[in-house]
Amino acid sequence: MTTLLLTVLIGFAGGLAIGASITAFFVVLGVTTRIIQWSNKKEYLLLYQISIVLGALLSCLSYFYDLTVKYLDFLTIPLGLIFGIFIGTIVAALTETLDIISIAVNKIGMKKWLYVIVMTIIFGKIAGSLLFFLIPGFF
Amino acid sequence: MGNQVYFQFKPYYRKKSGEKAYLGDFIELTAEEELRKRIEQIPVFPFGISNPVRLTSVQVIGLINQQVSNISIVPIGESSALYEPVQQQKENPILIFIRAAFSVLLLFFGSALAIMYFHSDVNMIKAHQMIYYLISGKKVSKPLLFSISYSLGIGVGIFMFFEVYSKMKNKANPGPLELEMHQSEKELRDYLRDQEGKKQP
Repeated sequence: MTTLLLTVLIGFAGGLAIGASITAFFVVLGVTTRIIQWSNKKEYLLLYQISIVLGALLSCLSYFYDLTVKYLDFLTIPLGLIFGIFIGTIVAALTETLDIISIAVNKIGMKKWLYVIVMTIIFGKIAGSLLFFLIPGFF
Repeated sequence: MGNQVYFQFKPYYRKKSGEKAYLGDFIELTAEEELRKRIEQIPVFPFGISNPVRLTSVQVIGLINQQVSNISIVPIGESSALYEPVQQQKENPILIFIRAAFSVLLLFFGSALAIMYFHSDVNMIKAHQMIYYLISGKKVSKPLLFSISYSLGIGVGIFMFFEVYSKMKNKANPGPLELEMHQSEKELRDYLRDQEGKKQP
């Protein structure tokens, strides 16, 4: 009985810490705020929060319990794009928060080339990601 | 007491180094037309400025009082400002090209390497296998279709975050990057202004 209680307690505490920290990570980086801005509908804030929680729960279920819904292969490409967009926003938010581009551009004195640099980063990310997944031996 | 004159510092100085600088280059003020012209024509630096200079409200009030008496002068806003001459040297286009090419190469390969690091750090391939299993029920060691569309999605995500599309529509619209750069420039100016203030007794 004690073991059971202790297990539940420790598991719950760990989940609490991880959940809170991952949400704080997204919020501080401004990823969620930016995505909500794109939707232009702040009234549905509760809906967005619920969807974040549900997404996290779903991923936990599939991670720990071999969950599958089967025969939804047609979702592969759109789902991949959505995951990629989210990771892309996180990556961009990280570069922005760390001031990498603004400092670099100010130092080299190339303000006019700002968007060339952004496009370069975009293509670099795509190339790196494709290389990682396509070339055998990377993982 | 005569009429009141309000003034505030202009945010930027628009003359090159060596051009004669008048008070009107540094401040805007409210006064009657005639008085305003007279105050704006007060020379401050007859030989122009070559280094960044700091002006304080007290200095401006002193300068105006030397020329015009019987008015009360009221500063608005910041009590001091830093001005630097407009840079005028033309840069070598080859040098610019080399610098641009170098930064482009650095950023391209740097971001490619960084995303690979990230993927192996968070074991992204495992996550992809898991997601593919979730939707299709097949255990595949390399869900290529998913991975490729995910990779393209990363590009779209960065594109959307930096609002490149709004930049294409309207050039004047500042994206988050421009705001960030403006912020860091402003901080630099404030720092220089305050340092210049420390030097003066």
